[in-house]
Amino acid sequence: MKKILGSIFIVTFIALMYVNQQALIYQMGLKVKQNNDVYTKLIDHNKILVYNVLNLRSPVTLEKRLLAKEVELSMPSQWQVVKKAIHTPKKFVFDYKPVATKGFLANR
Amino acid sequence: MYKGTTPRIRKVLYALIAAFALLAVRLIFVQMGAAKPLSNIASNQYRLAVSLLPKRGIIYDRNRKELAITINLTSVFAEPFKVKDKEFASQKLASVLGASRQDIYKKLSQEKGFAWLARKVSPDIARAVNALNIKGIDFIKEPQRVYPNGVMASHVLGFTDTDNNGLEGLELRFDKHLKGIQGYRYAIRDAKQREVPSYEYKEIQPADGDNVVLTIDNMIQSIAEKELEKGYKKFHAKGACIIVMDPFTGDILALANRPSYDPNNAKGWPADSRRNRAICDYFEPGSSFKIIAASSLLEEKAVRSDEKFYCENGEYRWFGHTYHDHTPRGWLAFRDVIKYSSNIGTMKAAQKLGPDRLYKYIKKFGFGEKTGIELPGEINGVTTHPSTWSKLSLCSISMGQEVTVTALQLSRAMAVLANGGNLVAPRIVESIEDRTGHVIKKFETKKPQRIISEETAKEMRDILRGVVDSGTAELAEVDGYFPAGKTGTAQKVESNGTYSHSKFTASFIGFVPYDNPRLVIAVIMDEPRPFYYGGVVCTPVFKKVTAELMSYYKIWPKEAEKRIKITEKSEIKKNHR
Repeated sequence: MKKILGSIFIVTFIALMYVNQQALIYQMGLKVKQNNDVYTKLIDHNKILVYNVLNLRSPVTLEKRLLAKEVELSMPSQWQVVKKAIHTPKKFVFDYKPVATKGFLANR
Repeated sequence: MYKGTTPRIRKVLYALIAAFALLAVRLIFVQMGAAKPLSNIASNQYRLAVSLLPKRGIIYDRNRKELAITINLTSVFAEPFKVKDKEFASQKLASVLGASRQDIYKKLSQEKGFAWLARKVSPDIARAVNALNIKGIDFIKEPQRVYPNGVMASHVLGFTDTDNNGLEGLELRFDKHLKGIQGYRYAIRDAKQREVPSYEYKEIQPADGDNVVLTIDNMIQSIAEKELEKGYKKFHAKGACIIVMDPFTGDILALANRPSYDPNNAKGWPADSRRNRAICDYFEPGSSFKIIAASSLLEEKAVRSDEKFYCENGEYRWFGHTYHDHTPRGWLAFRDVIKYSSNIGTMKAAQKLGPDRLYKYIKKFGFGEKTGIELPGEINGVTTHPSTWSKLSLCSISMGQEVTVTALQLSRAMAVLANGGNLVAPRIVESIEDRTGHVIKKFETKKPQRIISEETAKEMRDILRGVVDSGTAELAEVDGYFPAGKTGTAQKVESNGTYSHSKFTASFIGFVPYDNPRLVIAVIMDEPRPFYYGGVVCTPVFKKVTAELMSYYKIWPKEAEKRIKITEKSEIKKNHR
């Protein structure tokens, strides 16, 4: 009788553990799905924002806006461009002097 | 057997045996014959295949600026059997979606499990519909193709339909590459048809579409479109197009047409606006075609550029037909015949060449056949064989009649003169890349074919410089850049087959600078009004585009260059002192 009761208990315990595990898996899946939905939503939102930025930066849009304010831009002429000399640090120059001045190894 | 059993029990036993036998037969039948279909029915009930849509590839310009991208928008659908108060729902949804109440009510009253209410709505509308909280109304994300530059380069890019299939332009031509491959996620659904998230048993990832990189330059395209639009509106033209091309590689840097359309809402524009006139429309080029006759005459040494022709003071009768020049002139050197665009001078010169040699050069310059550009819908144009020519054909063809061309073919012909005598293949797509930037297909520049000598090309460049300097295209002059080109004003053919006196096609095809050409620019206007000469209508567009592009490329005017050199020298002298 004890054996029967013991085996019933073990089987019930295993069954309960199995159900609990399934519930946890289900919960985890749900959480992953929710996070994935949020991620997708953010990506979509980002794409819409990127599109808006591209749209605002588009030459067509900029031109329309400037023309609406009666501002007409044109490419600069050469006299309108100021070339600024950029200071660059002096590069290390390898001062090569041939060791041999005569003979086979001489720098010809 | 079964001693002690009553006959009644035996009957029950036999009945049971018979029943089990029947069941066994049925089981065999099910297992042998109907197992697969039944299994499919069962799996369809609990399995769910979720489509995973691929991302359509991006279209970039030559500087990797996005010309076409894809965003995800929300579509609203209904499950009509779940919607209880259809009257109320249709009223509320109509006000938010901006649709008619009757239409929505009709959709909600259908005996269907699914009905679209609105596709790809803005995020604000989607939020408003969600706030109504109507049972049976749900949302799905769908990819939407968008073009951040609106109308710009619309004829090149084309557009897609609601299901993201390319319908026009490069979207159609490279649909296979851009579209990608749809993926699937197989999952299990519960009794209420909802996906059980933890029981996903197979997923096939979608393959995103490849990116297409064009030879178009966003900035050049914008400049070309802006100036074309101004010219198109100013001269009330029926249509117009502009092509900016690199004469050495054949790269198309800008291609625009008017009227145009916004590919973000292509349905809202008439079909006529969607036609890529630069490659799909042919026209009689008129005087701009004289560059072919002139090049072939010089190449074949049939004339010298200083050889004189009598231009009959503007009226010449040939085989019963009277030809006219727009300005009467007497003796002109051949270079001046082209400079002043004398029809009589050109036809007299063409007599020295003959039909066969003229036809040979027309074909060499690539007329009558497609250029092979990657855009869909390109046409050949019409060039007929000399065997079918009338006695007037040689004269007419030499001055650009009886022959039809596309704007792109004319640009390519001008590129031959600009690059020193080589026929190039126009190219608008640079490469196709996958999502990681790995080049899948490179559209290499095709090897140019030499069709006229370097000397002839140079001589032609000098002659065409004269056209702008003091000929028919003086309005195209850009100080310090020395452009060259040829104007054309062709009468259009009426429906009764005669030449119209009120409808013209104006053109100017030029290059800049004439001694070291960097760009070929073609401007064509269809039926401009009230002015119709190519030298009046198209040259201002050319001039403005040239001036802006030279600044864009930081090529400074030559006069200014000299001035600056002088200033630098004087500064050096001062420093020495």
